[in-house]
Parts: sequence; C-alpha cells; structure tokens
Amino acid sequence: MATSTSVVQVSGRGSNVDFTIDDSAPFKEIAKGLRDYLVKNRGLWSEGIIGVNAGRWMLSQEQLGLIKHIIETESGLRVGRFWSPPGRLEAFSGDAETVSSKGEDEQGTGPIVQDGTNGSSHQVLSHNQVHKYVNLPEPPLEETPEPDPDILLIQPETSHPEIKSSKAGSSSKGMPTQALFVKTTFRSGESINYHGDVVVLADVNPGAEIIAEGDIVVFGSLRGMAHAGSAGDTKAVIIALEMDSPRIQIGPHTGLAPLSKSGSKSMLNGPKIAYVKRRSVYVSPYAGRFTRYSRGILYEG
Amino acid sequence: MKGRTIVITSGKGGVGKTTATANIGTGLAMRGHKVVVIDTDIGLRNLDVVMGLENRIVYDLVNVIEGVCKVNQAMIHDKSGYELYLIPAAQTRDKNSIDPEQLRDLCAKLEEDYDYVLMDCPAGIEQGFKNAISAAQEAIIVTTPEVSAIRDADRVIGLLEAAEMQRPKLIINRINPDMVKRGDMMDQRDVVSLLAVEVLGLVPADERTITAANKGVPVVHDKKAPSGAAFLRIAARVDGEEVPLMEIESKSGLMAKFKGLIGINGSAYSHA
Repeated sequence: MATSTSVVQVSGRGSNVDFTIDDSAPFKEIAKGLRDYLVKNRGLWSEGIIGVNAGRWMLSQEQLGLIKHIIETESGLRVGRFWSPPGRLEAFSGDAETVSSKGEDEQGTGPIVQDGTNGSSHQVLSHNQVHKYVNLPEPPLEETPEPDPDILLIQPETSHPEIKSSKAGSSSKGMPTQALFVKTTFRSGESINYHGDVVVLADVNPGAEIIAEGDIVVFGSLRGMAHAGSAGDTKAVIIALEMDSPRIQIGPHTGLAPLSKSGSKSMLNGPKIAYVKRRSVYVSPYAGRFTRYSRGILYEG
Repeated sequence: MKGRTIVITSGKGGVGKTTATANIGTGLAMRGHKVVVIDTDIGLRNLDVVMGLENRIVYDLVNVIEGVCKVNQAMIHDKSGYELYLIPAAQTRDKNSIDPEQLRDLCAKLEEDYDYVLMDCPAGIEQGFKNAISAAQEAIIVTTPEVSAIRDADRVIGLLEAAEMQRPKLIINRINPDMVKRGDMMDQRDVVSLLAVEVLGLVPADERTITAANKGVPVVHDKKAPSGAAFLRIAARVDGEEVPLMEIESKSGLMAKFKGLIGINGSAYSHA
C-alpha cells in the first residue's frame, strides 16, 4: 500500500534535517522507502557524521545495521551513533529521525545495494531478538566498516557479549551494567525499560513508568509507576525524595500505597526507600543504603 | 519581517485553548502587532464563533492548503479593526486533510508578513496535534487546575520536548480563588511544581469569559472582566514585556493565597 514517498518524509528546519518514517509500515518497506528517497535525492547531502534517533523504534541490531548501511551507501553521510533519549519514548511512536548539520554538496557515490529482499530476511530473522532497551549501547555496528549486509547480520551477535546478555533478559547478574542517568522530568506517557540501575534527577510524574532490572533512585517526587528488579531481583530497592507513587513493584511483588496517609510523622516527608520483606513491599524513611530496615509501612493498598 | 509562530495546545479538550487563542491574538493586535490566528481544529472549528466571524467565512484552511484560494482570500479581518486576521478551519473535512509540511510552509509564508501567527490546536495528540506543533516554534500550554487536565498537559509537554520545541509556557485557566482557599482546588504552585514549566499567566474563572465567547467578542475587549485583564497581561508577556504575575482575588475582595512573583510572601495574604 505505502509508496516510498509516504513511508519516508523528509523536512528541514534550520540546519536540522528530519526523516520521518512511518512506523506502521513493515520494515521491508521502510528500508526500501529510505533507500529510494536517498537515491532520488542524492547530491543533497555532504559529508558529515550524523546521529540517527531511533525514536521509539525497538529495532533489532540487524535492522539498525541495515538502516546505517542504507544511509551510508546512498548519501555519503556517516552514521556516528544510534540514540534514543528517554524523552523520545512514546513521543511519536514511529519517528526515526536523523539530524545532520550540513548538507548541500554532492558526495554520495556508494554502491547501490540490491533492494528490499535483504530487509525482509532480516526482519524474519530478528523477530524475537528485538531490542528491549532504550539506551542503545554504542552501536556495535560501528566497528563494521564493511558495508555487507550479511556481515552486519552476524557480527553484532558474536562480537558483543554484553548485548547478548541484555537480550537474554535476566542474565545480567554479575555483569557490571552502567546506571542510566536521566536528567529530565519523566512525564505522563513516557516509559523506560533498562537492564540496570536508573537514576532520575527530576520528578517522575503520574502516568510515567520506569522499569529497571536494578535499583531505581529518584531525586524528586516519584508519582508514576516504578518497577525495580524487573528480572526478578527482590533485593532491588526504590529510593525517592518523595514517594508519592500509588503503585510500585519490586521483582514480582507489587506494592499499593496506603489509602490514608497515616503513620508516624517521619513518614510524611523526606526521602523514602521501598524494599521487599517477607514477600511484601515496605516503605521506610531512607536512612542510608546499608541500614537494616525493619519498621516500615506495608504497601498493600 | 520574521514573525513568530506559536501553537496553543492542551491535550485535554475544553480547558480554554480557543478562548486563549482568540484573546491572546486580540491582545497582541491591540498592542499594535499584525496577527494571524489559525484554527487547526479541522472538522470541529469554533475559533470563528468565539471571535464572532462565523458568517464571514468563505474559504478555509484546507482550501488554502489545497490551492483552491490564495492565503489572503481565506483571511478574515477581525471586526475590531485591529490588524488581526483569522484563517478558519474547514468544518466538512478532517484532520488528515492537511499534513505537517503543508502547514509549516503556510506558517513560514505568513511569518514574512505578520508579527505573530497563533495556532489553535485541536485537543488530543493525534494527527491534528502533530500538524500544529510541527509548524510552530513556540508553544503555550493551557490547563485548568484539575488533575485530568494537568495529566494531559504533562503528556503534551513531554511530546513537545520530544519534538524539540523551545521551552513551552503554561497558562493556568479558570482558577477559582474561593475553591483554592477552601482547599478544593489545586494551588497554582502545585500545578507548576508538577509540570515544571514556566508560567505565562494565571486566568481566573470568570463568567464574563463565557458571555463574551457567546457574543463573539473576545473578553479582552471587556474592560471590567478580570479574565480579560489577565489575557492582556499574557499578551504583553508573549510580546516580551515583563509583567508580574497577577494575584488572583476572590470576589469578596480578599487576596487569595496565590503567591505572586518574587518578593511576595504567601503568608502576607493569608487571612483568618
């Protein structure tokens, strides 16, 4: 149904160029549309390194590789990295955007790749290996200057154990993972799913959700949904300057905030920690990471 | 001349986007600017009604974009006589009749001749919203002090930030100082602390806003209306003038507990 023009729409403002890609189209069509567009408009771009914002796209390594390959061979631009800031999440489900700083000169003289069929085979192969994690690690594809789709297909699987482990889900135990540091407010509708600890330097508003395999620390008000230890770790904790969330989850245990804000005065204000004890979620005033928490409020609604 | 394109949006419907658009547009025109207001709520147009220009519509936004008419043929001169023009929405079409690029081109063209292009955004976050925000450089969020409106405003702010819009500014509409005093309505400070954006203005709940809209005369023309005065101050702030945020007084003449800008201690306005 979709033609190349409707799948990929390009618009510019200032020095930025936005590629808006229709997410509802199958990946094969997107790949073809992107390539057709770049072929048609060859000469519009000059050399430069661009970042590809994958938006809310949960692309597989193969698909990212193919997109990088298409952009690089057809436009002469170099894809420096793929990224996907938390603010983008959910934002325009289906925006993939490239931002280029300059682009007026002829440069693209890469070989034309054979079309769509690759895309389809990639898509089939990658169905259950979809990236679950928001922050794409530095693209492993960068080390593959060889613009051969087949190599792109295999290499990320073999040469990057940490990605494999993240795909495997719960196998992150023992693997040092970096904490994800978020400096902007999590707003309603934004969500993040990360395979390590998450630190938020702002508020988490109602309607936002954070899912982390590790701990969650919020330097602000936690009013949205938070799920720590999402891979089943009941030792994970949630710490917030203000614990106002109606529902938190640690490992498999869900905690519902008490309906009335009763309790001792110390529970009214100040930082809190949520932890699991005897299969229930408790919240206590925060008194340091290594304190033994005993008396807390049971979060059972 | 390079004008500014500002979208007025909210997420939730019925919080006063259209009223705000009409009044800020009129306010800016009263300050001597050339202003175009565009109703992008295709299929549910009502900016024309609020401005009292319904019976002058010949061409609409979709006609302009489809090339049926020239831009200035669709622009309706406001009856106040100020340099204020309305491009009405099409009522018989839907949001998919236009796309972001077309609207962006139109706004870019209008910016050459006008100081301000204000867009009344449809409620929701679907195609109509995307059209409107893609064409604007700035955004004004309208909300009321209600949990549902604030939740939607929060979502919209997130989407605007994701679209790399300059810092959106907030108008809190329909504040009822009596209810705030009784603790039945969210305080302006609570709203701001949750949404974490700059406040552009506070508008009190005012029956005159409704009468004015029904008469098709924006409330800024009403010298006695507190909401009209609030919108005039908002227009001044949009224009870059430093106007301190207003204290919202309850009808009994007592100061509500709204905190003003700097230097005003909230307790100074508390009363026994």
